[in-house]
Amino acid sequence: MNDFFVDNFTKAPKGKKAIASQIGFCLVTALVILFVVSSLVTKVYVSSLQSQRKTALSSYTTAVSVALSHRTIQAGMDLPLAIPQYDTDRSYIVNVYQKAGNSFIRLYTSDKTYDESKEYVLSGAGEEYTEAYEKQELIVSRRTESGTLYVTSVAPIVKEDGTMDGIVEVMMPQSAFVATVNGMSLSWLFTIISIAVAITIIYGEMRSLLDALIKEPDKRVPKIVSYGFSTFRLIAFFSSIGCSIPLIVLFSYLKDSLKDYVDNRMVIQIWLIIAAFVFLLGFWRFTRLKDFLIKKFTARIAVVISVVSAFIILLVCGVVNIPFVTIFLQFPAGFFMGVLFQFQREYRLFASRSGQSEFTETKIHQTQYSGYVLGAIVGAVIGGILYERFGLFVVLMVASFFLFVDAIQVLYFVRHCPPSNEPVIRLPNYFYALKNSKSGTFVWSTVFPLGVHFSFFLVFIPDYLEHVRISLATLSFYYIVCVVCSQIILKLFTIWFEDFFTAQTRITLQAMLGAVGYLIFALSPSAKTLVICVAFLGLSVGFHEFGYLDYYKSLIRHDKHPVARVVLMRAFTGGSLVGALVFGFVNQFENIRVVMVAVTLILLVISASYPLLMLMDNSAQNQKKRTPGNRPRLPENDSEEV
Amino acid sequence: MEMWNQKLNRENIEQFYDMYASFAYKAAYKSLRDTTRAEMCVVESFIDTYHKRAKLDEENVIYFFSDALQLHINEMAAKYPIANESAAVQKSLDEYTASTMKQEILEKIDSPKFRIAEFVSATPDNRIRRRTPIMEFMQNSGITIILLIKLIALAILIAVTTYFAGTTLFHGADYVLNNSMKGSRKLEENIVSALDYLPVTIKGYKADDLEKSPDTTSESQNSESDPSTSETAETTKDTEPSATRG
Repeated sequence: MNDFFVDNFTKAPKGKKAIASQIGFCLVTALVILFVVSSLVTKVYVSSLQSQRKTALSSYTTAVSVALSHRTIQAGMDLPLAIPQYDTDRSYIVNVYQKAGNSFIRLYTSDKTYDESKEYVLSGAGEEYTEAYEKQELIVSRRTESGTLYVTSVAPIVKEDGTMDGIVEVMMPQSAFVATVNGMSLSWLFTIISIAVAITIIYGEMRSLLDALIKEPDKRVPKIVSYGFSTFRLIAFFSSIGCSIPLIVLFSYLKDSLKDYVDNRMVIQIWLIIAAFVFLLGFWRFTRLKDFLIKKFTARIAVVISVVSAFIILLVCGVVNIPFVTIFLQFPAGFFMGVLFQFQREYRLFASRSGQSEFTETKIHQTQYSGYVLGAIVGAVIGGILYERFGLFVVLMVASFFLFVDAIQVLYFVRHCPPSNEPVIRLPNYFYALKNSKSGTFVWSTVFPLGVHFSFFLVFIPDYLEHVRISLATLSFYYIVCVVCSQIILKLFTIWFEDFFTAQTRITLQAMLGAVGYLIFALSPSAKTLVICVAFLGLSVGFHEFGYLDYYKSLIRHDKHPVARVVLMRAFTGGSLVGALVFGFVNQFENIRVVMVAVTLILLVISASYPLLMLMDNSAQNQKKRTPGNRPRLPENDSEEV
Repeated sequence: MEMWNQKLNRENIEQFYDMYASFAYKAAYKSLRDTTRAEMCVVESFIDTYHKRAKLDEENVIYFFSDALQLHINEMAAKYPIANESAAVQKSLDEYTASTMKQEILEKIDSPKFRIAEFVSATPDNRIRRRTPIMEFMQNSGITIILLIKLIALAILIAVTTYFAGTTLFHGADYVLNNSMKGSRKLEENIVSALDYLPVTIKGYKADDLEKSPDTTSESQNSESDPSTSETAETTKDTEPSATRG
């Protein structure tokens, strides 16, 4: 006990504490090194920038001084030189003064806001101005005028005979003098955090992968789950990186390359919408074709075929490097990547039917979901940095590498995974399901908006960041904020206030928080408010905890339960496709405020429809008791027909 | 002798000690053949058992104590091989040593250091700190206060190391320009850089022509006194240096 503190600092922790320690050390190390090195580089950058500004300011002052040396300076005079701009639409302010006793009277100013009829006597300049005048020196100083601090450069106007005629003062606001667009900006801080988190995630997942490879499979359980939960997350993680990278860099690439072919911004945006839409169409839909592939070749071979096909398509996109070819190939690329996700769905269903009580579908889905979001975080950093540095080809090859790693994992960990043979739901039946007053409204209200949020994260934000000239790697920070809010903050709330979060509350809060998030961004669209927006969206998407399937089953007739999963999946993918179109359309506009407000209101109406229905229903039934629970629970009312 | 079947706490620790100290001391001495080392093992074992009291069920207290004693004896034996083989194998615990050890144990478990250590460690007393779902969530994640302290210490260490490496090994400070905002210099020293802003087109010549014909100096000098610069404004604008946007 004497050595309690020493022991804690010297003995290696075990189990979960060991993992937490290693991940924590990795995160802190990466974050601190990046931060300190960035600070040093920024210091050099800012000093260089200010030195250049000082040189430019003093040089121009000297030039004006020389130009005025052969002129008579008097009230109402003109400046013989053009006044340069130090920033877009922002010029230096030039003043010309004449000595009058102990002070200086202004004869000329380029500041158009000042009433020239009023006599202006220089004040608050100090002794430096007098010294500059008397000693014939060029000085750089600071002074305040009308509450604004300016950096000033002052030079004497020397006449031909060597006598002083006055002084010229060139000034720019202090805020502009020290301002930097790059350096230690907020977006760069976001990027630093993203890089550090991505490094940590990669470390954690690689460790997890090595553990899974080294350890012996549990032979007491079915083969499909013999490697435990980590394989579900690992496969989801690597597939998410490989699939998210091409989509994330797509917008930047198309915007850069289409400029050579199309002048019109609106036409370029239409091409972007088409590209994103066909990618998602291939990725989510054509499930029967994907099922056919899996049935025909078995799940493992189908995955390998899809990965090889996706690699060839990405290779062609990278080598040919023609935007229209890339757009054309988005559909097959999305389709073959979608096979990976279709396989994981089959993998999840088969594992959940293995008879092992801990491997429930919800739990596996949550594990896979964590892999997906972690993969998207890492993919955004890798894709963003590599694309901005090396271009499309390298990025697509890196994405292919991750897809191949994923395929190898599938071959190693998943020995046997037959297709689930889920029933097919035809389009009229699907629409009929959506038309149902209660269950249909539930789908529209809860699952459909989740698909829209998906498109917001993977279609809108990359496009918007490109629009506001922020590094693509910063995209990862928005994902991190979302994940932290949905997986940690919300989790703490739901644990703490367990009784409060009933199914009704969760669905209502999901609708409200999502709408608030969009509305905040719509009212003041900027990269900063986008952080708040994604925080709210993160809280919104964290409520369901994959409990909507059970809830939906309770709303429909028992013999319709087999199609429940398919209906929800279709609703989600439909939301994603509609979201891609809508958010692509929003980015069409230079000022997105009005359109975004309109989209927010529509989304609010859709997502609030089921809570309102429940409210009316509750009023009609004279308020039944609420059922507490960790996630949406079965309602007490009777089932309805789909 | 009856087996211990109570939850260990501050009130009954002395009773627990009185019941098992003698046996523990005998066992420790038999293995170590040294009174001081045997005492150390016994004291540490009692303190460890008390420290883990929250996690121990009534019937497991004595088992944990025996495990802890065995561990300390093994560690001590590995660290200090038996020096005096001829010493007696059996030695009973005398009253003075027993009371001294008891006093030492009680002082330690009542000390502020021990209490702080207990508060910080992940073995809270159930009576004092109720286990909440949040705490379970945190414990399941493997995050402890000790880990957070370690991370803060690590962050400071890495920050200092990186900073000094950047400034000394890689001479990062050498690249920082002296950018003091204030300063003065003679006007004529700055005249060359000012030429960038002055009109460079002279009456009858363009800037390109001037570069080709070096014998136009006299004309150039004449033109500088020409106040009509409006015609040259466009050319001047093109030749202006960038105003150093950030």
